[in-house]
Amino acid sequence: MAMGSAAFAQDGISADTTGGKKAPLQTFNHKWSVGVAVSGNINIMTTGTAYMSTVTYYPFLGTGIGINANYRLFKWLSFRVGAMSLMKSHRWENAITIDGNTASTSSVYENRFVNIPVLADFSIGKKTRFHLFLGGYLGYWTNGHIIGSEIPFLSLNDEGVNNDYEFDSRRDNRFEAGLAYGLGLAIPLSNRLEMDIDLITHYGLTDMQKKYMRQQNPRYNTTTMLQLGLAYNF
Amino acid sequence: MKHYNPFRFIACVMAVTTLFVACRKEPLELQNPNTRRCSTYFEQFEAVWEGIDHTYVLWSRDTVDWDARYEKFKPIFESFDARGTVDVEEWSQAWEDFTYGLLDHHMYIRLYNPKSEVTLGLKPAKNDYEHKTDISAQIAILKQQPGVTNYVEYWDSKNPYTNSVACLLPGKTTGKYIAYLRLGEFAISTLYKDDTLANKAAIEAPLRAFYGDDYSNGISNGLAAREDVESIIIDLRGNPGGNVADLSPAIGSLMQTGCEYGYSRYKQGTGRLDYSGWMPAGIPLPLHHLTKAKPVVALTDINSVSCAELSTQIIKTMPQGKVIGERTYGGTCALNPYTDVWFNIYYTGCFGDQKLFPQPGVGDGKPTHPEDFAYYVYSGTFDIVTKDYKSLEGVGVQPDIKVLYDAEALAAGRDTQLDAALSYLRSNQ
Repeated sequence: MAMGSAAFAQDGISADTTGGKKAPLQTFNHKWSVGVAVSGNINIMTTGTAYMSTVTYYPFLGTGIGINANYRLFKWLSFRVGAMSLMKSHRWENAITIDGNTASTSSVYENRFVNIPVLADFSIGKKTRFHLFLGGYLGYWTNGHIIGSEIPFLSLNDEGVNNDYEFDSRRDNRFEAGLAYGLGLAIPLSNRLEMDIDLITHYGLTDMQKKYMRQQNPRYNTTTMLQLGLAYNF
Repeated sequence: MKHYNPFRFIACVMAVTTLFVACRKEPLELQNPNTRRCSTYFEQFEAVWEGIDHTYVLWSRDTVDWDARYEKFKPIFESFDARGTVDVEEWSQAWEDFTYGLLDHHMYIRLYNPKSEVTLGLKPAKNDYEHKTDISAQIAILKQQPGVTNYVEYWDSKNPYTNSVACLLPGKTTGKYIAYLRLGEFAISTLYKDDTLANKAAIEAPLRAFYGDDYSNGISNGLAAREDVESIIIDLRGNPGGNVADLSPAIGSLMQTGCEYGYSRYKQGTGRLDYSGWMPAGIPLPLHHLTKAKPVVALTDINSVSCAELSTQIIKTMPQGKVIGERTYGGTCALNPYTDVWFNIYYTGCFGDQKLFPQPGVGDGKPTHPEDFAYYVYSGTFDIVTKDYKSLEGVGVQPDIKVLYDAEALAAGRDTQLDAALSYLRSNQ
């Protein structure tokens, strides 16, 4: 706390710097803020397909919701910690050719994670402030669901796949960690309230699988989210 | 108070970030096991090891430590190359030990050794119970059953896919019957479409008798549909399986609605445990089927395999179905032996090039590429489980009434399994 106060003093910021004029909205005067955010994201699952020439893993859209807290150390630097529940999905597609006709079969893997990002938040600007976020995150893969239009080889009808993802403790690494970075815009709505628009990427550095076989293709998530938040400063 | 330079701080953080980005591992580059060519003992070993490693559909429940097998046998196959030539027995034993105990009961591995000009065939899965089914003796006893009527048979031991027997046996009620069908293999639709068979009418006769003229579409005007037939026996003993498309006319026609008997899945990636989701597995109701439920008995033994096991499982789930005899073989995966079609769709199941092996009767019978260490692995594409997600691989379908194969009784003119089925259907059930 003392450190934060000293930093504000050093930066020449105090609660009333306007000389009696109407104060501009400057939410960065406050040391703490808490906020909520909703997000839409696109997730890329990076892996190898080797000789499976007709197989592609496509990015897929997802949504998320979260809360976060900021602590301002300097005018230009604060730290943000959050907790968010978000989908990190991908679509597997096999564009196959049967009897000369191209067909395709695909499955969407909807994976839900809880991510805890810890970010250094560099910001500039007097009223509306621009932010650069750099940091990391920890994640936990809570559940998954598969929806697919599979080849109805043995199927009674074309029901395809629609079932929860079965975690296999031999294969699935449910903990994830990686880098978090992005850009943001904070628009003050009042002296205490601000709206945040952030574009943040969570770049996974841990394989989604445990090392369970000698020759293993790694799997990494990269999730880029457009986040809309509301923060209260105090 | 010291002034912090934000740009220097950001530059440091970004440099560290860049270092971290390089931490991701690169994807593997793997050779396609379906098209790989091998010129040494070790390459052949590695191709089969890798192929099974990435494409085998039963890794989720197979207990073989495949990585340990690699570590153990790699130096052995490398030493074969170092020595130049190897005794065939030693080479065969190495392969036997290397693949021993893999769970897939369909799996069959063929290997060609060009240095010794020898082809080896291996069956890694082992059952602790086995016997041969003396089908001829069983048919002979069936023919002698008291009151047997409408007996129609086509049985050619050289060509089992054409074989079947149909007849009527006296039922529980006087004047009523049990319709009996024995299928050599599940090849009903193939047979129906095959116009190259010179004696097709004779081959089809039992199927026409049991199902009716439109037998590839189920039960129409055959024995099974008769009003005076009160129950049915489907004899699947010694049946090695066949075309799953036949499940609908052969077994689905005994029901009044379509049947969902379980789920299936296949591999979707190169990881051992990369699977598709579970897809409901079932059989649709064929065009012709029984409109009224009749008690059905599946007669089974340890040599009822694959499609015969799925049929047994389906009959077991029918309200009026019963399985009598022995547990089935336990080879319940679905597959297609033609690697040029299915492997290129599913990237799992059978792989390897059979054309690289010596082909008796083709040209001079020698391999087209005599230096190649050819390989072919016959293995399941779809893993199939029951409705409660239980796998029958290596376990088989358990009978409701267990009657073990009795070779001595058969030799003495008694088929104890058939007797049990008849006695069950003639009782009050």
